[in-house]
Amino acid sequence: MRRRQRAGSVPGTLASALALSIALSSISGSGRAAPPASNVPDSVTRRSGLTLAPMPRAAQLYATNCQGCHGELGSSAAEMPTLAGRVGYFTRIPEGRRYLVQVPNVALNANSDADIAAVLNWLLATYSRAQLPPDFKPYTASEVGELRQARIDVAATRRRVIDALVAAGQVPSADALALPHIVLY
Amino acid sequence: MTPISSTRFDRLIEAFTRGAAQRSSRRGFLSQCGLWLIAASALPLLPVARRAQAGEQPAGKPVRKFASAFANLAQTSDSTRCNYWRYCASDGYLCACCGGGPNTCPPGTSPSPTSWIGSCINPDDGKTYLIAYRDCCGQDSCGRCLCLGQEGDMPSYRPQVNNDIVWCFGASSMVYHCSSAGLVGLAE
Amino acid sequence: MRGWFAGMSAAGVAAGALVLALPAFGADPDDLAADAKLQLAESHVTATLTPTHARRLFVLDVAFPAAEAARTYVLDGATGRIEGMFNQAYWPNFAVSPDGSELYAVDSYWEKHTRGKRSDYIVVRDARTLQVSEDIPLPAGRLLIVSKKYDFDVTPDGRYGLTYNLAPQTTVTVTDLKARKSIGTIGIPGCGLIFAQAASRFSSLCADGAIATVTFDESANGTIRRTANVFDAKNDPAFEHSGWDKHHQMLYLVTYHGKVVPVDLAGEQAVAGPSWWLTDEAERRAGWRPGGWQVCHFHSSKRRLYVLMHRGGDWTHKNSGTEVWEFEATTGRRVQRVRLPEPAQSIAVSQDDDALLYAIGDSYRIYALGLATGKLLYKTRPLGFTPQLLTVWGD
Ligand code: HEC
Repeated sequence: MRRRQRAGSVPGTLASALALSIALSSISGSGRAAPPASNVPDSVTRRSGLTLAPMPRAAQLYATNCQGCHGELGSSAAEMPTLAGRVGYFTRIPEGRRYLVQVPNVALNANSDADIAAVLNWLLATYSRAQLPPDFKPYTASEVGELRQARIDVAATRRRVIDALVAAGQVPSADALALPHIVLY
Repeated sequence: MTPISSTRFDRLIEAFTRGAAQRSSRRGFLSQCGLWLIAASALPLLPVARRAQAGEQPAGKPVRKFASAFANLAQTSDSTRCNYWRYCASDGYLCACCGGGPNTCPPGTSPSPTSWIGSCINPDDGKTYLIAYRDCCGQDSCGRCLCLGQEGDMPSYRPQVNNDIVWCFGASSMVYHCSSAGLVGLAE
Repeated sequence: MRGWFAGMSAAGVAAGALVLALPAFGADPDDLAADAKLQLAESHVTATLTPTHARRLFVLDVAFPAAEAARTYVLDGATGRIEGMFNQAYWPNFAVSPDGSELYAVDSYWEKHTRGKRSDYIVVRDARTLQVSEDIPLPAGRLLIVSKKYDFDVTPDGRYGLTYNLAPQTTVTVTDLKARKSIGTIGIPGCGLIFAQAASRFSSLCADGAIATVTFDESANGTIRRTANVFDAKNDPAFEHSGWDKHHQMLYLVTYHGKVVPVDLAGEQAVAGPSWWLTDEAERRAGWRPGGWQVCHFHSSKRRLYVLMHRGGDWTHKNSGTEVWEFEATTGRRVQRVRLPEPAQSIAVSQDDDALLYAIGDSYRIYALGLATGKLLYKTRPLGFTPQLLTVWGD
């Protein structure tokens, strides 16, 4: 098996972990003071001294529904499109905004429309804030409820959306959203 | 079970540092390491939704403190046993018995950047943590400490919560060796 | 090597070792080359199997502790006698051709055991000699997962083999088994598993609880028709090994909690019927629910559904069953509860009139009960490493 590079891989440093957890808490949006971090009672973490604060709900939804494939920092194995630094571009045109709700792992997800809206808003703000249009409006539950009914041909739709983004000058280059070539094995 | 040294992994920071997400899981047969889940709870909730409940404890009855049957029998000190609290949904051979640890792959293997995420209750603080079940890949089955946790395991048409798939995407090899269980975070 | 082999030619030893343990069904002529003739009172032949019959039982051993050593055993289901074995590869699948003449193994290999280039094949074997007649490449790969029966299916006319992949986009590769080649791959976004009900049609279960039915043409262009959700994928998902009656194109989805949702797969779009429960309220209160690996099996001409049942709480869906409950699938009436001599992970039922119930016990022994009598017919010694799936002809 040939080793596959993690697309856009993020160094696994404590610094990035801290940066991420700060990013997470700034989006929780609840306005409550962050709950205190505590040590995890466990033979491993007792010695490492690791402490954890509760994750915001949207981060938890991302973790349990999406992170296994897309990675905790929005990038993972080459088979999964990188979300970090990219996914926000799609929201710049209506068809792209629809597409994000209609990819199979989002549209067919077992969670409620409100939860899907929350996880999309969270991931856009966390991993791709810089790519969002200035007038970005968060997804609403009813919008998600409507859009997720559609079943799309993923590859064809993606191609169409990207062509439209390029034509509208909404991406810095034609290959800004290109996927790595995946050799199956 | 021969306990392994814990020094190999105890200096590593878990959580968000090295790709904490994961997933493993594998097959259905009884663990040689012992623990078989005891049928108990009646709540049809995913474990993450199960709050620690101060259970009624009639004298002489076994303690049933948590809504998770697994957590009621779990311990937090020995990661080479099936009832180590993080393994509530782990399915396969424990990396901790194979030269690795709950968040360390044994020599000669590598972790996949992909995983599946479950949640387990820590019996010592009663809190629910998200756990990344990540496969270590690159050698055939380790063959030691087969454990089958089932909490939150869903059929494979819901792949992100299924523990039978070989989650070795993006690893050095698609051959499954063992299952690890890294901390992702503390549930709200 | 036994002493009386001493002094034989090397070729004779090798050939003799190959055939030593096999029972002979056919007699002469022997299979040895003329110049390798043994001066023995008995000659050696390689056994061939009798034609596939209703009571032949195939046991897929996934060999979990050494997963690249997976194999399929061929048993006489009536007696438990081992009739043969062939190697399979990593997390394989297995099926019998509808006419019983060929066996299909879906296998993944690396060129250097666990390393090097991976290749996936449908390996076609003659059902009587177990000799390989073709390795059909699967260029689009296949899902590696603890083997599940419905990750591979063959259309009822025997023309197409359908293999599931999750990479992690979910797809089905269509292989023309007659022409011996893969003809294409069809996306089934958000869905998994394959129930092949017609010459050019299959259905899959989807992450949202819908059923997707794909009708495809000779170039493997597929059209998908999805139902609304027919089961609750979030709170009470359907088992992957639900009751599949290919001959009546009916899928009896059995859920974690014990509900049955009959789904008619005959048309371009699946149609769900009214659901019913395996258990009554008192049984549910007592904790009865389905569980195991191959949890369900179906007898097509009797239209009976068989389900492995145990007492347990939530998240015991992979616990072994202590009983098998038999139901009239069309009415939901329970016919009987069969108490098992040993808890079992997987069951199957022979498709003949006097049906046998086969089970893989927790001790890895295979055993059989007469369904009419409830009598235990035999228990084998532990078979292989970790036997996992049972297949009978026509299931
Ligand atoms: C089983 C693995 C898996 C899981 C779980 C998963 N995804 Fe994906 N995701 C993919 C793959 C593969 C694609 C590529 C498109 C496809 O499905 O064919 C993708 C595509 C996407 C895209 C489009 C990106 C692009 O560049 O086209 C978005 C957005 C996305 N996923 C979001 C999510 C969210 C949000 C979740 C959780 C609710 C999620 N995904 C869960 C595997 C996964």
